[in-house]
Amino acid sequence: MSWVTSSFGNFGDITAPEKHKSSSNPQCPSKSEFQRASAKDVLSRKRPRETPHTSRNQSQSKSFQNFLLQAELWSEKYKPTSRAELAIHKKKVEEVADWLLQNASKNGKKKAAILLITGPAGAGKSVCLHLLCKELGLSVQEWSNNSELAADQYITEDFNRSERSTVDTYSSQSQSALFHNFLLRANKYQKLDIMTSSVDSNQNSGQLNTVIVVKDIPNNFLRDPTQFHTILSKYQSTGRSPLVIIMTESNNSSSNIQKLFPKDLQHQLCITNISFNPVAPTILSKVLTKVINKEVLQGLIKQPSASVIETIAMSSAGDMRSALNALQFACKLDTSDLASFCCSTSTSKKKSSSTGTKFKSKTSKQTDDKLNVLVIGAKDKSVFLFHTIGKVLYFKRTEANPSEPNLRLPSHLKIHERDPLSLHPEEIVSHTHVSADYFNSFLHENYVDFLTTVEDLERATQYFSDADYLSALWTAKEELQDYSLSIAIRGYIHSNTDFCHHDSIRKNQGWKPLHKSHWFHVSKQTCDNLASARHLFRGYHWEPEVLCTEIIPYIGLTNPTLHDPGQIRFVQEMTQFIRSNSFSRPRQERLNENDVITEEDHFEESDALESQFPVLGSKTGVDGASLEDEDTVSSSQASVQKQQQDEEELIIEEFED
Amino acid sequence: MSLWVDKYRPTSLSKLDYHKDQAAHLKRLVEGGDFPHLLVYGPSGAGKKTRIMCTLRELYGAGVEKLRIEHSQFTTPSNKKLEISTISSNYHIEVNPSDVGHNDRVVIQELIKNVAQVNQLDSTQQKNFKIVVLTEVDRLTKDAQHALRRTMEKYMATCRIILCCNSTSKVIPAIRSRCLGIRVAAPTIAEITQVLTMVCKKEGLTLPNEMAVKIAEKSGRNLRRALLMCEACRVQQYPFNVDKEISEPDWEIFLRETATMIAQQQSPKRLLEVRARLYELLTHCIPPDVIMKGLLKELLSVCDGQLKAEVVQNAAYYEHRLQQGQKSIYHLEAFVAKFMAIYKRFLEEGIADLF
Repeated sequence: MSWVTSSFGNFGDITAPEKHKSSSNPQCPSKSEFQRASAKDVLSRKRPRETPHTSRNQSQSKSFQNFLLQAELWSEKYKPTSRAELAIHKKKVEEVADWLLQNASKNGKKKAAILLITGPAGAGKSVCLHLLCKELGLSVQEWSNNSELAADQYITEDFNRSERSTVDTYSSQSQSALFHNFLLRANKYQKLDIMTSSVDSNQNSGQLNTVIVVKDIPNNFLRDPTQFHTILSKYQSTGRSPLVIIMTESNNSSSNIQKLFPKDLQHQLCITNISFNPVAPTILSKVLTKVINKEVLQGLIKQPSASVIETIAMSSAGDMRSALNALQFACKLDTSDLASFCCSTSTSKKKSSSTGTKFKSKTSKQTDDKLNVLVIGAKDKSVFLFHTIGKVLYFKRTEANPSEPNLRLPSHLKIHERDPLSLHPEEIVSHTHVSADYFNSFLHENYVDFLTTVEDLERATQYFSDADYLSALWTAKEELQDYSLSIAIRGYIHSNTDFCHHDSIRKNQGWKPLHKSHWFHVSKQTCDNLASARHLFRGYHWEPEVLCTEIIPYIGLTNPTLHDPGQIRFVQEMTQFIRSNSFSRPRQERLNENDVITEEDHFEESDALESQFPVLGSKTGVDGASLEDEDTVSSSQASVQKQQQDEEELIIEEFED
Repeated sequence: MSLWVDKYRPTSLSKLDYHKDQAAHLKRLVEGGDFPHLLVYGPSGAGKKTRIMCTLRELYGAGVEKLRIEHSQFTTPSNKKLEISTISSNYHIEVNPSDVGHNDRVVIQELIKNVAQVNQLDSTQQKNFKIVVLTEVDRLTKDAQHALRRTMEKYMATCRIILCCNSTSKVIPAIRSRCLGIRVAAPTIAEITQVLTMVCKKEGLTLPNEMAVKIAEKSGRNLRRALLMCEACRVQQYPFNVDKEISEPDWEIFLRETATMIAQQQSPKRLLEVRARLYELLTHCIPPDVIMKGLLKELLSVCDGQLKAEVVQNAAYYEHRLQQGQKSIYHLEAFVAKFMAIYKRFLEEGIADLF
């Protein structure tokens, strides 16, 4: 349905004649056309309900247009128009271009090619793709999630009642069905040229090469990726046009990319993956300067200082869109007091009070670093867990300040002397999104590799023990968690005597793979095992500790006749230990660069773990609950309860603490 | 076929095999009419539960042996459903409150209230109170223990509580002072030998005396373990062969190997290997304090006299941490690293002395 929506979207354009509105044909105008359209179009498209009324009001339209001219977003206005203007590394652009050339031109191949472009927001993924498509003369059909269906109907109704019948044929289909239809139809039918009066009709008829672009993936696929996978593989076998999927990487949502495009699927469907990096700050500031110069030439704004541009470039974390927006905001007439944008000086505070609530006064703790931080419009620089842990483990020191001899330790404490750290661990950690407790266990999983002597190890483990002790008290957990993490990190850093000074040479340099924390998995499994032990051997009613350390191991040895296959299996499982002396961790436990860890299951456990060991009255799936309630243990307290009623079906269904 | 431990468990106070004086005391206590709250404590496998059941039988007759397994549901103030399985007869109810973790307070209060609110049906023939048996009291949270203290007094008229734990050190003094403490000491080697011989005779087996002594010694004065070992021996080799090794549970062997690994090499890499093994033990539901104890025992055997004190002190320190902390692996590992450091220093000194 979405291609219909987008075609309606254009009616908001003031200059566009209203006659287009009646066309409710199921073909989609490409996104590239929208981009060629000016920003007023972009703006009005966002408010489809309002625009028709505004456009009718002739008296207002003039001023409205003026307003729009100003309101134009720079990020739209200065969209790159040629390859050279792209703020992306040349190699990357070439990579994409090569892929498009290879796959778009050719029809002989049996399978449709699929390309997956990933990268952080504002890295220029879509811009690059659209630009290249234009250059190569490919038309683009784009899917967008259709959430404005209702609004759509409203507009059409308003305009042309005679069209109602066609409007009413909108059947409410599920997003996934729509998506499916889109993919399968998009490459069969060509789009109808309604808007663009066949300017580029030179490549009409069968020769027209289309690229299908999917940027938003319907949400329900996230819940059920297998459905998505089947559609993809179906597309590959039936589709003819190359399919490009653009996914934005983020580190706070669940790992959609991994979920939707697992490695084996990528392999199976021969999906090419091109990943974009954030735009480098130098390139960013270059582009910003260029934009500013253009604007200044037009006389719309005053020239801002270079430091402002620098600051914006630094604080936008490689997001071109956000940087341009921030810049535009900074250059607005009423906010043109650019100095106040940077909170480096105390004067900014005074000014911020005068300009009202627009400025969040930020505690200027970083003044000593002489680092200016954008107050408004700065992108939140969150970092992947992987990088954060890496930063802590490969910590760096800077040269000690010789002007402060007081900071030197007396001779008997010389062994504890360290050069100052170049980064504050607390600051690094604040950029990550996981809880301190969770971070702590990841650090714990990985730090041992980075220590070389047993003495260092002794101290580091002690600090970790302290850290855990501090965070265990549940009443004060919230407050103490951060301190506990600080103790762990700083404890590790201080105990690492290989690297006391900024010029120490790392002995065991080189990259070491990081691993996911094993602890949560272990504790969960422990609880599960405990629960099933208690459930399966309920008839013995021993305390869990006795059950696990004495009864079950000896049952394994004596091998009495057990009546429940579940019991037999469990005993076997519990009495087997993996004795591999060659110690290696499985690959899937590796922590990958862009892994996003969800903490859900962890919270369940930490809750449960509060009271140490045999906790968890975990609820077991009791299918014969009513039966068991009547069960009497015959004569002796300890006689084995023989529950032969389908107990082998028993599965631990739920895990509740 | 049930295990020998269950099959030959004495059912009345007069049939107990050892601590006969204590049995006589308990008998007189029951005959005396009134009955205090009891706190039964002693090492694992000493016969605490057996004595409790015998006392109950003495109180109520054979009716206590008709046991049911029930699932009770409780709701916490935060509307969370807790389910706990209890074992009960008409006269008593047995529950392990630590099954529900840190919500044990709710269970204790509700459960005792429920039991105590119903009077005994026929108070002329029976005692006019019911009994609540709480096991693993030392694992109760402090909250629950304080709740218990109040509940004990409030429902004294209709209900008595028997608490069962390994050590009183984790029971708050307020509870200790409200109960009659009964310490069940571990049986001596001779007593275990005697029990083993008797059980084997009943099974129709001949158990050589040396074999019985060997098992008794190996069991660490834990009668339950001795009986389990004896049964395992019976399955693996009959007639009993005195020269043959007595099989141990797999996790103990695994733990011993781990300790050997620690003593063999002291390096961060080895610690990682040890960590993997500790995880393995933990997933097999071996409680961390048992791991700590087992490690210490094995590690002490490689230590010189002068080192022992230091190692034990550190073990105690980290065992305490284990109780207070949350992630047991941190503390286990800290102990291992500490031992590595101590031991390495010792070895280096030894080499230095040689030259």
